Amino acid sequence: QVRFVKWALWYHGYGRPQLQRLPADGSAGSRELLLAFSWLLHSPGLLEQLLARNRVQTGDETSVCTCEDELPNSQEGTSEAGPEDRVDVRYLQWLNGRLRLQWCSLHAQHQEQCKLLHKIHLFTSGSHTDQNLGHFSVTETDLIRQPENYKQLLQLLESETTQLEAFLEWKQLEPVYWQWMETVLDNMAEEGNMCESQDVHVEKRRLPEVTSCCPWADKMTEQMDRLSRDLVALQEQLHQLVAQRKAAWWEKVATREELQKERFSATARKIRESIELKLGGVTSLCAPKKNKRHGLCRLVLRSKHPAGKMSLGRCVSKEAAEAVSAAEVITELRVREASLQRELQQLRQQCRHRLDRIAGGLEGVICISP
Amino acid sequence: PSPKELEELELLNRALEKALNVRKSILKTPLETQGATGQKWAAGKISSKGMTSKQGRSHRTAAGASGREVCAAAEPQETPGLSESAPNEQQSFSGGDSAAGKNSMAAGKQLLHAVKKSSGFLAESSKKEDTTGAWGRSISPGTGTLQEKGCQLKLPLPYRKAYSRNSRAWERCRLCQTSADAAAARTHFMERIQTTVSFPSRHRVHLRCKIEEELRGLQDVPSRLRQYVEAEPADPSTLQGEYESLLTLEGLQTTVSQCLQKLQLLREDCTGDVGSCSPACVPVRGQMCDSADMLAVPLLCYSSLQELRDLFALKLQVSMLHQEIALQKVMMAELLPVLEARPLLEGSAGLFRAIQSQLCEGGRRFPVLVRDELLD
Repeated sequence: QVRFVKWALWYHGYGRPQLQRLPADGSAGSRELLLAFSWLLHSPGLLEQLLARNRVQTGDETSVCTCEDELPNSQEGTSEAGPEDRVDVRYLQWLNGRLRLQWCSLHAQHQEQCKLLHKIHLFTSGSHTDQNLGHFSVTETDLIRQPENYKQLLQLLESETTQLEAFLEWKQLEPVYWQWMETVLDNMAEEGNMCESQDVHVEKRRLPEVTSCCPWADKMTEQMDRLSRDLVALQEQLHQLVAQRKAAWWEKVATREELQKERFSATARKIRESIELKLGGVTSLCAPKKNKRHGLCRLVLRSKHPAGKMSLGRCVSKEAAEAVSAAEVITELRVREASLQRELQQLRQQCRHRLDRIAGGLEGVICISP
Repeated sequence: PSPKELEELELLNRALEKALNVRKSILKTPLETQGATGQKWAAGKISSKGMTSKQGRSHRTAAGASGREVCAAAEPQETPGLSESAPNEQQSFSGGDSAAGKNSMAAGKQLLHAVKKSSGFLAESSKKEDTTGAWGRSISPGTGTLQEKGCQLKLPLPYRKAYSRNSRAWERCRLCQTSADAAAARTHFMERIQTTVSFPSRHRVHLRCKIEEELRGLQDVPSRLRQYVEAEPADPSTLQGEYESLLTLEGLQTTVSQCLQKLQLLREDCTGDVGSCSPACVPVRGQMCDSADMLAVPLLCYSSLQELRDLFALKLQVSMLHQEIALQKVMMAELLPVLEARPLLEGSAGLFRAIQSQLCEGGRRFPVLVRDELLD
């Protein structure tokens, strides 16, 4: 547990080495932990994140991010199988088939669910007191029908409101807290002055910490390698294309004597501007991404045309502007899907090569791939 | 298979049956209510599982055009993959030695886990179906349909009060600013913390979560760039078109090198000083956005049924691909050594075929092995 805390703090950028040097049994260092806690309050916004993460869900929630779900560590499986265990490859195939079946059933269920959600949203439009939402969710609709079942939900809502009010109180008392933390630092500085010179030497010796034992770093490196290969391949492709285009361009220019310098430079400039516009979106890809939510979002049906049954004209609050649109998410998902498909195909291609080589070793048999 | 796996298989079976039951009941109700006039099952009644045929007939009222249309639409689509997965299970083998090594247990375990996860999904979605199904079940005739009365419904007063108090509290928290002296004291504190960080690492960005976030952002760049590249015409006819094409491609080239540079920087950051590393270092996925934004209401707006369906379908597709890639990696690590290690016997043709199909075709198609006999 202690190691996990140290790792998590390091992960989020808490660089204070004194924390990392605390003993692993957790027997000392409560002041360091206090400092770390204070740091967390501000830097990743601990309180805000906790509040947001544990938000009471009254709507139809779904997640928006495209992050991979964590699959279990594959190293656990291999050590368990004893030398006598043999698994029939047909078992694998059968499992695979069942997995596909599950996926298909899941898809069908999801689609059913979409239809029902849409119906409820559509039919209850205009009823919700909250203009931003405009309609009820499944939970709320059921709540109307059977209020007795939802006592717990009410309690949760009320306790959350209390928490939020406590948060507001905290905000008022904040100056006191930070001043207190300063005094803690002062105390530590007084006491620790003697030990600091020793610490520097200890640190220098500790620096060559093995990176290879860190699975996170390995995972990152693997992803970076793959990304780098992708980009380099793309770079080569572009290199060729650009060379081709340039050659074609100079050919065309050479044969067109009437290419008046002045006339063309005006059009050239216009073209350059339009290309800059077009590629503006592309260059922003490499810039830091806009804030993506990882948590759950509430699904809300909003028609594109403000003139309609739903009085969208009224809810011109800031909230409306901050909602994520499904169309955006769909575009991003499509891109993600394309990347993943390519990755899968690359892996399969690798397998094909290796298997072809193996097939070459099969005596007296020719393998014809589908 | 070991008893534990049998147990897991049992779970799997049950989950599958449950899912199939839902489908069966969906299939049943349109067929039975179709005979009756006024398909109340459809028009306005949000029910799927719960609706039995008897109730369907008792809620007969004038049929709306919407009723019939929704009824027809509610028949579950023929899922494409179903027909494909069947042949898999019926493959027969020619070779004698069709047993894979013990290493394929791991692959099996991975598959099982993925299957269990999917059945978890199913459980969640069928729970939702329960709620919506129950709606149809207990509506008595005369109350009117949801379609008619939906916009007039009112949430019960206690809930409304609690809800509005709650959303007002959220709004106040969101708009609440840190007071000036608190902010000053806080900044001072943070600076002092920073100065105690040892010198070499002080000026570097040590946010590993940021590294991960940036990497994630870069992951889709090749795909997007490829889209642009493919959109370029192969042979533009006009002079201007040629020039445009050239500029676009050059611009893309610059972007790619920028990305590669960025990647290099990230790599350096990553291999910098490593702190203590816990073997169970699962990254704690925090949000990278502004604290105040965290408290805003997270809404996802869709504008039509089709959009919603596309959204769900794509989410599932992405999740499936993630799983498939993970499975592929595990299978490669486990199955290829089996074939590569030993000298292939005469009878392992079947094994080879099976492994080839799993690894290269996703288990969908099979290679053909032909005996290489010269006709004398």
